[in-house]
Amino acid sequence: MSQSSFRPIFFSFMCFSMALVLTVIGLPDWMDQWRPLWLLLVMFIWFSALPNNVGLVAAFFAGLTLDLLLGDPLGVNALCFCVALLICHFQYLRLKRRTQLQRAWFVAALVVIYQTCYLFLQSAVGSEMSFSIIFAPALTSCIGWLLFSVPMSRLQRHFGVI
Amino acid sequence: MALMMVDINSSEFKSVRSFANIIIGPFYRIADIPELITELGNSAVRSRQEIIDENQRLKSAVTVLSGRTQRMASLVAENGRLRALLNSTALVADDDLVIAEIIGVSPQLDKHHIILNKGSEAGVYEGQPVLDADGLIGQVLEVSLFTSRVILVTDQSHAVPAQLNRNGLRVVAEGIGNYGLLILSHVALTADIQVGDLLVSSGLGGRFPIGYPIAMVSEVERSEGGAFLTVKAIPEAKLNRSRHVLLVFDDQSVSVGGKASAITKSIDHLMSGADVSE
Repeated sequence: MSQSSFRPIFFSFMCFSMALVLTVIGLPDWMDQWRPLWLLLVMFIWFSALPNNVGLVAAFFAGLTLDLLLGDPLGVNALCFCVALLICHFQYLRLKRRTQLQRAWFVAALVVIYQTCYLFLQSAVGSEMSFSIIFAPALTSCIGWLLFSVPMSRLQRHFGVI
Repeated sequence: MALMMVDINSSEFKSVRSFANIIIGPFYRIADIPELITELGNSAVRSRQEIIDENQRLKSAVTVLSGRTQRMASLVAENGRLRALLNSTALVADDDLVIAEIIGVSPQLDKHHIILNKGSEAGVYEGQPVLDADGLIGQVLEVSLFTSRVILVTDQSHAVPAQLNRNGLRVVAEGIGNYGLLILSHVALTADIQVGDLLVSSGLGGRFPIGYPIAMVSEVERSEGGAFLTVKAIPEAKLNRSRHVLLVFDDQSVSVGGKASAITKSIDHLMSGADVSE
């Protein structure tokens, strides 16, 4: 593998690992429900940079890792990720012409759809969850997008991804 | 969808899952680093006097506890003898305890799961009881090679068969998703249960060993016209505060309906213990 193709792969691997660590890092109880959906956020940042390279297979495996990490039945997060990524692909042309702030609203909507799907699948497989998980992460993920999208795209340029 | 159904319904798939779970260990360990640094910082800045005080306190605690353990040994032996006289099975035996460290907590509020740093390589098995210094914490839900996932007694999908220490009344203590509360369901209106009663594991169901403290009854409410009492209890274990837990290896202990050979072995063990103490 040449040096030029190794760096972007290494960087993307680090990003997704970091997102997974942040997903399980210990927080005080009151902050737990405000935790952004880091993995979805990272996936959306990568999708914005390289829409043709982030496909359903990548989303499925990202979701599968999250299933293992959270102890959910395998496939719950994987299916939610696939749904979220499909929506991103359908909206891609419109998203390209939007400003950062408008994209932040899109992230919030994406998180709400993701969490609704997640809630539906969780109750379908028999575990109870409260509705409070839908809106709080949407708000923080939206702020997370505003904070991280610009530094991330700089880093992506630095590592030769885009 | 198909994957979900297979994962939920098939028991053969468990080995695949437990193999795949190996990858989660590193993430939880990295996420645990800030906690470790705080702990290290706390221990590094303590004064000499504090350490001496703590050492003194621990020493006196050890003396008191070993004194109690001595009495416990003779009581266990006596219990074994009396049970043997009644032709009944021995219920208390020495459990092997192995200490494990909590390296992660489930980030979802509705799930009371913790991740331990010991897995099947250390002999941890599914359904194994987990304690802390004060009482029962929960049981092992999933095992991978180097980590295991424990479901706490307060998880809303968990229930543990218990009995009152005072009179042996059998109840079921159910979690409701609150770290500080357990609910006793289906307690008859006429049952003798009071605030302050200690609940211990009853050993029924064959999963938890008998006699470990679970919770203290905190509220008994007799509702007019209701069929059952509403009873609330506060868990004894420090469910969201302890850092180290104990894994119980209870291959020696015998629950109700256990194997005959194990029973005789256990009685022999206790009887020989009794002879020595006499």
